[in-house]
Amino acid sequence: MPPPPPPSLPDELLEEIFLRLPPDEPAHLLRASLASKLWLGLLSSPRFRGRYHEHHGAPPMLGFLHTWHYGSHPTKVEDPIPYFKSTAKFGARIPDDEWGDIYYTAWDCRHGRVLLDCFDAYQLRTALVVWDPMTGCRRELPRPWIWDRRRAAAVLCAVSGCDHRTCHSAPFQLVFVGLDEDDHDDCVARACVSLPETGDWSKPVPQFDAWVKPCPDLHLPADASIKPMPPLLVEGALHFMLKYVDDDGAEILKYDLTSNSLSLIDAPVQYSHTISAPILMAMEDGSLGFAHVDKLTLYIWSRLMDSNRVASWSQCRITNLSSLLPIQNPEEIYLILVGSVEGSDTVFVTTDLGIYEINVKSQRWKKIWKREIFRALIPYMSFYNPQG
Amino acid sequence: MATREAGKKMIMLKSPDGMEFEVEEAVAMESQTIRKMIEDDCADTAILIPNINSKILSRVIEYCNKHVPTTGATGAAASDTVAPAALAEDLKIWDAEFIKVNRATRFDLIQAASYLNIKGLLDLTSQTTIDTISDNSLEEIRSFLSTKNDYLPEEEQTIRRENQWAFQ
Repeated sequence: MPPPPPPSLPDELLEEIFLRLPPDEPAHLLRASLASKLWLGLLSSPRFRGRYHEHHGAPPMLGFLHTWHYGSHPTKVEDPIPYFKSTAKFGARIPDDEWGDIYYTAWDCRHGRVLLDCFDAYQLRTALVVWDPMTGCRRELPRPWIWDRRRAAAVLCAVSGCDHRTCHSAPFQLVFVGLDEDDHDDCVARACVSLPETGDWSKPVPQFDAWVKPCPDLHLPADASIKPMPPLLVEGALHFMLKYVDDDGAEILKYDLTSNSLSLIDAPVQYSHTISAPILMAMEDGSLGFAHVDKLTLYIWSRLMDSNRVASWSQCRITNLSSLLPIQNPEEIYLILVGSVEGSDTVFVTTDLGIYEINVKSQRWKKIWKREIFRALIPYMSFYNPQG
Repeated sequence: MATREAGKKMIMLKSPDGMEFEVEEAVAMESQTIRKMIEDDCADTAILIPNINSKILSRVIEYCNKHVPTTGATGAAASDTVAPAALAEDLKIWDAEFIKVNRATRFDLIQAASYLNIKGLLDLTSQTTIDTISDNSLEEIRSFLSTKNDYLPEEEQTIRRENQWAFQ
């Protein structure tokens, strides 16, 4: 006689077990969801997702997008697939049309959504594309037509009060910031916000319904440009790094989402011949951070408010990277900061041996990629969500 | 079974199959469920632990005895001579031996740890099950955790094809 079927565990205890599946190895969650539809239902439920996120805290890095420096681009430039590299055993899902004949540049990534700037060479058409690497869904919005160069953009969750645990497919908003010349050939910065896009990713967006009226102009020196890095969201404002071609200056352009206004923040240091290009951080304590490398030393600044509510920079950490990271040739190396993780004290730095992730607080680091000279590294931080 | 020691408050735990276990209150309070009963003064004489038979309850008490924070004369002596890291390592080895049980006992321990709210035991039993899931094929996972594959073959194939990265 065959043995009686073994008893199963109640759902809440199965959940208790599945909570321990490692978030940086999403294949386990996927395999478990393929065991049965019952389990798929359990693992894809908002309840389990919420508990899983609560159990593990901040989402893991499953991969990153990157952009190339001019001149260091690989020879096969016609590859239309966005530059997504997995740092865990995870495969980003490409949309069903395999992107068509469109060239993409990664601009931003937040709460599981990737923002791409795209150019369709055949139809001479530009657009902003929001892509969910978990589902392969993508949504196109027409780019605001008034600026054509020196621009940056951000993708944000549009759900008020969202904890961003399960909002991949919830409404999102885009913020577009561009520099342009006014009638007197001076430089002006403008920003505008898209109307919230709903979770239905299949419907096209009407051309003229996508964006609200731009915010008032902010005048800038004529040689200003926006550093092509993803903006950092800190206290309801997006922060973009500006640089000035003529005087090596650096400033931060702040777009306040609540007041719909642009303003400038001084950087704590200016560029010099020894300082590699600084980057912005959104620190774990909620403050705006600023990181730069001088030879082999990493400097971290934090912008804090005093009791009179006046914000100022203070240097909060100095790290000798040559005693922290493996470096092959410390005499000749030029360390490059290529990105940071929002809401974490983590930066990415390129050395002569590879690209490293460093938590500046704990000083823990790991190599995430071989040596390649990326202009920007945009981390894709997400829990894996089995698709029910 | 615990024995009475001078100055230590003991309480009685009863299993539904009629066995009684006298344990130190501190040991019993490794269970947050029992701790709450004691703190709420609901445990004057003996506490009946429903749904957990004597075999499993004795294993749970064994676990709690080992994991209760060491205090008092013997505990102080132990921590004076042994580094905390060594103690943690010792506990890890002990846990690994403790959880070498058959499938049915492990499931019973998971249910007991959940009901009695003993975080360490729930972590240990759940994590051991995760290790089993991670190391085995999909068929073995289904069999081990008794779930029936109700995907149509073509549905399963589609998911596998769309997520090849997870099966390489």
